[in-house]
Amino acid sequence: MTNLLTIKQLAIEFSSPTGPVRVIENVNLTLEAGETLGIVGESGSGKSVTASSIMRLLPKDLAEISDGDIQLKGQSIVKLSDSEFRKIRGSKISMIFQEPMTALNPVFKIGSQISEMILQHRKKSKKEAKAEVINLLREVGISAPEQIVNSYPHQLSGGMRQRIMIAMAIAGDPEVLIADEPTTALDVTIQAQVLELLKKIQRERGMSIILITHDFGVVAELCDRVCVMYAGQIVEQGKVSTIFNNPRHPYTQGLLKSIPQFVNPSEELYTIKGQVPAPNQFPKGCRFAPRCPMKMEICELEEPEMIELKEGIACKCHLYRGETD
Amino acid sequence: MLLQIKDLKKHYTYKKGILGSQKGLIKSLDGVTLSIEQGETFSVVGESGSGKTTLSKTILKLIEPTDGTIIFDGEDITHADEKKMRQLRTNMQIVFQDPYGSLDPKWTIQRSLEEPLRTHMKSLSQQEMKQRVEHVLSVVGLNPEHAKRFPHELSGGQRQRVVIARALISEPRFIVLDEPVSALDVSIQAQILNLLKQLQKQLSLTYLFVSHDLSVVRYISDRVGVMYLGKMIEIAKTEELFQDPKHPYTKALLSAIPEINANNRKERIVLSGEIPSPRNPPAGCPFHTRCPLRKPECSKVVPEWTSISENHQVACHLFNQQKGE
Repeated sequence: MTNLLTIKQLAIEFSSPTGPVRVIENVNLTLEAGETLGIVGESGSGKSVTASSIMRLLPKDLAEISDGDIQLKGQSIVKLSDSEFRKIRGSKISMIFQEPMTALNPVFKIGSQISEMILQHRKKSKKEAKAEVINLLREVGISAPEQIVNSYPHQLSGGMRQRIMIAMAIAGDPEVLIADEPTTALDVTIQAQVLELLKKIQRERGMSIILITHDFGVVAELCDRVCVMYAGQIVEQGKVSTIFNNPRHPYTQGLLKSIPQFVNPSEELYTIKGQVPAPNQFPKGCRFAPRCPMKMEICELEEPEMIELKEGIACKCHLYRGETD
Repeated sequence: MLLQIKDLKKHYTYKKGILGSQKGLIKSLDGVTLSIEQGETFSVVGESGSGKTTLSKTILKLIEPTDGTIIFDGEDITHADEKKMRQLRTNMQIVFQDPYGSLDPKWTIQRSLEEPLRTHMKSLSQQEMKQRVEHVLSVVGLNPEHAKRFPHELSGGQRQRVVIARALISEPRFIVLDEPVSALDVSIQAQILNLLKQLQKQLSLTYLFVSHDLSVVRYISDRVGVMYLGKMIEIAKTEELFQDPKHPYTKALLSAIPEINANNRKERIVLSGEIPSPRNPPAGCPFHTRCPLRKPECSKVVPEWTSISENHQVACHLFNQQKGE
């Protein structure tokens, strides 16, 4: 398979009254054609910031990519001018968000919002675009598209709005879809519908998906590979089934053990002591060390490397020093 | 039996028609009957609009019921006035989803925790109040030091501990927990769930737990009730409900939970459509518009509440008939 999207040594800084704060550091990941990659982590782990940086949606004047590179098919997209980037956003990479209501324009009809996407990115007449909108709505499972094109976002339910968002995102026929907590705001039966829809679209269009979520169940259902983020870094990555059956990093182990799904109700849930540190208080050495039950002397002194282990797992932890594959 | 509710209803009217001269009726709660034993955790699950939050608020009479009976500790409180309720609320408390929204940002934790004492136990001296606050903070795993802080100085998990402490300080017997862990990250969620279980044992509390997260419900509950469009459609002991659900909606709801362990993955029943609007609920069984096992009578007759076994009841025509044969 070929690498569609590559992130190399990415670092992102936010400005603050006391000087720049590095919220993302040393993030490396690759997305292959046709695969679904999950990025999981708790609040403040940096998963959404990483995704927004790919789409160039970081708040201007407040945050910037201070190091590293993002490449689409081997071409750097970090240094493109805004107008050059606009040709990529929507037609090569597009994104859907947690709350579709805030992502849709409340004063325009659904039909015109989607056809705007088509007219922007593809050479089509208005009439062709109109027909295309109906097709897209049908593809995302909306049963009466001719009526829906004339409605406004507030007239639709949350599940329908998320379907509209997906239709808009695929209107430019992108190769990469970034989905930032796409089902978090939805009820579980509607979430099931949207997950099935994402699977179907990926299968039929051969798209690659980056799925950002805090829900391990959603990752297990949808993703081929997963990256676990903690305090602005990736701490473990690899195949979903391998990581969920045999997590290596103490943080991943702790997170999986604290999910009620795996625990007999008569037992206590496992808890990770303490809490995620704020970006200006990231500890030296391994950032998880202060909370780690397997902490060694070296952990607070030296930052661990990303170590390649067996079965295609990579893990940023001193426990596995010298255990490379 | 600590709490018994019979045929509880809450109907809202709204204006409809061009001049708003006509009145429509929304049946947020449409005849719910259940009882909760002393020391038990009873969970109510359902999707948005199912009426689970209306149920929990009506039980505490934060919302006046339209019809039905509420019996708390052998006493009919359905028509209790505000003064009487204030007395009763030392025994009945509630914890909401968003701990930040539940605490006054301008008040110290000390003041927030003293508030229920000022209302309910006016005879306490300043010194006694201080002692009580210190004690309750240690019960929920915080330090006396936290009393001096303001809500914004605490983490999400700590704030939820404060809200739980405030519910506990009047030494209630019954606590409604309305989505108490939904806003929390998974590692913090585990801490709060452990705390709630431990408090229940220690103080022999009775919980009504409202949640949309089915794996949390499975972990914490003794019995579970499933709601749909203002009606209770199935009640059973937790394990029985999860192992052997009867109602087609319960089956679909359980199958929609994203499953982490691929070996446990069941065949998913993806429901078509969404919950109908409560302004225009379907006749007959409220679920018949989405039910894969719909029969002709389902759209005409409201199914009766039928006992499958001593601890398992369901409202569905599939089981009404079995009983008659």
